[in-house]
Amino acid sequence: MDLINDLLLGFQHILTPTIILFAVLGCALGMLTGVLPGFGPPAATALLLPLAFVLEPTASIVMIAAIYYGSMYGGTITSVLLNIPGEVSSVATGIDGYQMTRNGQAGKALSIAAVGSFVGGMLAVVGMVFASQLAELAVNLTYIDIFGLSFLALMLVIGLAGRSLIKGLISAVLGLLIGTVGLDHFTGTPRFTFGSVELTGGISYVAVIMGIFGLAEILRNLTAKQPVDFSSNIGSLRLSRRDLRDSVGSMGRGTVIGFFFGLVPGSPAAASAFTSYAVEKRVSKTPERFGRGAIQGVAGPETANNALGISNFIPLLTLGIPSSSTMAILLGALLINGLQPGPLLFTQNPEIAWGLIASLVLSNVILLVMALPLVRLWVSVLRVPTGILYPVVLGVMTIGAFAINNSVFDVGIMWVAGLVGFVFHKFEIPLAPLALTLVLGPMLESNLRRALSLNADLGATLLANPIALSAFVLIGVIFAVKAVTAVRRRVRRSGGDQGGGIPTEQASSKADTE
Amino acid sequence: MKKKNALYAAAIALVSLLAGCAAGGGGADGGGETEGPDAAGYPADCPSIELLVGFSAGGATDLAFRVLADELSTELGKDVRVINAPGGGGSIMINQMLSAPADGCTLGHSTIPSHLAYLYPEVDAGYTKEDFAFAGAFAVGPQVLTVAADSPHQSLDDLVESAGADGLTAAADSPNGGDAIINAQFADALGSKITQVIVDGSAEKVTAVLGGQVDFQNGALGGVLPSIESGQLRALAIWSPERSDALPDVPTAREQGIDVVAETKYALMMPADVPEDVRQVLEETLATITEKQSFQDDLANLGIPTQFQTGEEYSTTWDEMAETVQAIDFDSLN
Repeated sequence: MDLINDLLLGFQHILTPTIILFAVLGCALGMLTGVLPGFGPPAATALLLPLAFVLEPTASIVMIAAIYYGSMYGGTITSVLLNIPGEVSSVATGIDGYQMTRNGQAGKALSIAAVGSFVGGMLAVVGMVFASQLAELAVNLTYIDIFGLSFLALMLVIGLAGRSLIKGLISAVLGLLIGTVGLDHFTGTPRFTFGSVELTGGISYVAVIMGIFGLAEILRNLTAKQPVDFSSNIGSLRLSRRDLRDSVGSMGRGTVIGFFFGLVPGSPAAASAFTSYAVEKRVSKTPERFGRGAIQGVAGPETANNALGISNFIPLLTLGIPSSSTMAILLGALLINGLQPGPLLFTQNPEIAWGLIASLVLSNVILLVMALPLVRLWVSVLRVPTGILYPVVLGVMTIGAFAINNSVFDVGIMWVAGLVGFVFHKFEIPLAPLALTLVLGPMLESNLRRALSLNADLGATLLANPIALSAFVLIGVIFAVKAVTAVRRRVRRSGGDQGGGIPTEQASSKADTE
Repeated sequence: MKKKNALYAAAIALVSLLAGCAAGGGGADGGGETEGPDAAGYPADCPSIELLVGFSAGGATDLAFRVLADELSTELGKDVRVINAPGGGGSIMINQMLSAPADGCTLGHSTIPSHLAYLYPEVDAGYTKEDFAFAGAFAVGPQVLTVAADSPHQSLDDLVESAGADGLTAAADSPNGGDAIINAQFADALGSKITQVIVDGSAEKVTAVLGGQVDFQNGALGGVLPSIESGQLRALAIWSPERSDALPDVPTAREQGIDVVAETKYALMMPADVPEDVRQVLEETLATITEKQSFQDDLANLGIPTQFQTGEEYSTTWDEMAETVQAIDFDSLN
C-alpha cells in the first residue's frame, strides 16, 4: 500500500541518531515549558525559531513539533499537582486532576494523563494519515456553523456550573465581559480600554487563567486555616486495571472530540478540553464524582488535547494553512528553509512531509517512555515544603506572565485575576465557566458578526446551513429537557408533601447533581 | 534529610535558571552569531540590539525581520535580537519602542501601510510620524488578489462582472489596514460595493476563500504563493506597478484596467531622538545587506523581493501613502 510505503519512507528519514536526539530534546523541552505556567509552546518555539536558520530542515521541524507536543503533557503536570495550569488547555484536566491529588492519587492522575495522551496521539496520527478529505470538510464550515458549534459548547457551561446555576452564570458572563476588552475586531474602535494602550491588545487570557487558577490557589492555601499538605498522602503511583477500564471510554471519546476540534480553523485548544470534560460528565453513570476526582475527568481532556495537537497539523500539511500560532511558527520554519507547506510538500519533499508525520509517532512514544517513570519525580515535588515551593512557583508564574507579551502589564492582570479567583472561591462561585467563556466569547462574537456581514438575514442563513441549524436544534432540545425536568421536579416536590410545604431532601439533592 | 534538601534546592535552582534564561531571552535571538569583522563599528554602546516586531512570531513580517536581524548581526558585529510585541495594530510595539531610551539599542520594524493606522481619527495613537527616524527600507511586499481554484473567474474582469447589485465580498484581516486600503480603492474604481469579512490573520483569509465564504482576498505574495503553486488558489491580479518574477503570468491590476497600486514596504525605524550617526550606519548597512545574494535568496523564500530606499526616500513614500489613505472612506466597506 502506498501509504505504508510513504510512512516507512518517513520513518527511514527520521530514525537517525541526530534526529532522534532532537525529538527527545524537543519532547523534554516541551514538557518543561509546559510545566512553566504562561510559557507555552508559542513562546518556546518562537525562542527556537532561529535554530531553523541553522539546522537542517527536518531537524528543526521535528524539534518544533516535539516541543509543541510535549508541552501538552507538561501543562498537565502542574495543573494536576498544584492546580496551577501550565497551559490553558490543561485547565479542564486540573478540575478533577487536582482533586485526585487531594485524594492521594496524584500518581494515577499523571499516569492516566500520559496514557491518554499517548492513545489520543496515536489514534489521531492514524486519522491524519487518511486526512486530506477531513481538512477540506473543515474548511467548508461556514461562520454560522462555527458559531452554532461554539454556542453548543457554551451550553456546556450549564454542565460545569455545579450546584448553583446563578453562580455559574455570573462566572460565565464575567468571562464574556473580559473577552470584550480591547479593540473591536471589526471596526477597530476601542472597547473598555479606558485610554490604556496595553488594554487595546485585550486582556490576555493566559494571564487570567494563571491568575484565577494558579495564583488564587496559592492565595487560598496561604490563607487557609489548615494549610494544604499532601506530602503524607502521595498514594499509589500505579494504574490498576480497573482505572484503565474506566478510562477507555473517555479516551475514545476524547480522541474524537480533540481530533475534530483541531480541524476547525481558529478553535482554541481549551475549548476541546472543556468539551471533553463536559461530555464525560454527561455520559458518566456517576456524574456526582466529577469535581471530586473522577479519573475520566482527567483521561478525557488529556486525550482530547493530544488528539487536537496532532490534528492541528492537518490543515498545515494538507492546505498549507496554520491553525494556531505554533503551527504558524512551524510554517515559518518550513519557509525559511525554502520548503513549500501544503500538498506541494508531499510531492516535492515527501521525505520531510512523511518524516514529520513519522516524528509525531516517534514523539508519542518518547513522551510515554519519558513521562511514566518521571511521574514519581513530579509527584515528589509535592513533598517540597510549600514555604519553598510557592515562592518558586510564584516567581516562575510572574516570569511566565511577563513572557506572554514582554509586558509587565500582563503580570498585573494575573494578580488582579488572582484576587478575583480568590474572591470567587470565598463565595463558592465556580471558575471553570469563566475559563470557558473567556476562550469561547471572542470566537462566538467574531463568527456571528462575520456571518451577519455576509448576510444580515440570520434566519435565512440558519436555514441554509444544516450544521448550524442542527446545533441550534440540539441547543433547543437541551433547554427543553432542562425545562421539563425542572417542572417535573417542582410537581414532584409539591405533590410529595402532604401540606407541610417542606421539600424532601432527596428530591432536591438528586436534581442538583444534573 | 539534608541530602533531600540539597536535591530540592538544586532542582529549584535549575527550574529558576531555566525560567530566567527562557524569559531573559525575552523573545528570540535573531541568529545571534557575532561572526564577521567588527567592521561597521556601531556608534552606540550596546551589549545587544533589540529589534521590536509588532507581529507574532512565525508570520511573514516576523520572518522577514528575522532574516534582516540575522544579517544585521553579521554586518554590525553585534547581537541583534528580534522581540515580538504584537497587538493593537502595531501600536503596542511602537509604544514600547518609543518608551525605550533613544540610545540606538532599540530598533523597531516599520511596515506601511499597516503603520498608517495612527492617521485615523478613532485611533488614539499618541504618536505621529515625527516620533520616528528611519534607517531605510529593504524590501517591498507585493499583494495579490486570489480566488479559490474552483471559482469560475479567470480574470479580474470575470470577478467584476459577477459583482451584481450586492457587490463583492472579500476577506480582510483588519477593518482599516492594508487589505481595507486596497479594497476601498478597488471598490471606488469599480463603482460597486465590496463587503469585508474581518478574520484573524492571513491563514483565515485563505480558509475563507477556499471554503467559499467570500469571493476573494488580498494576500501577501509570499503567503499565498504555496497555495497558488499547489493549485488551491488562483491569482487574478497583482497590485504592484509591475508583474512579479514569481508570478509572471499574473497581470497587474493596472493592466486590467483597475488603476490601483498597493504594496507593503518593509523598513527599519527607531525613535527620532536616536543620534544621527547611528541612523546613518544603519542606513549604510541596509544598503549593503540588500545587495547580498544570501539576503535576497532568503527573502525570496518568503516571496518578498528586496528593494532599498534611504530613510529620506522611505519617508517620502510614507507621506505619499498617507495622502492616499487619508482620502479613503472606509465606511463604504461596511
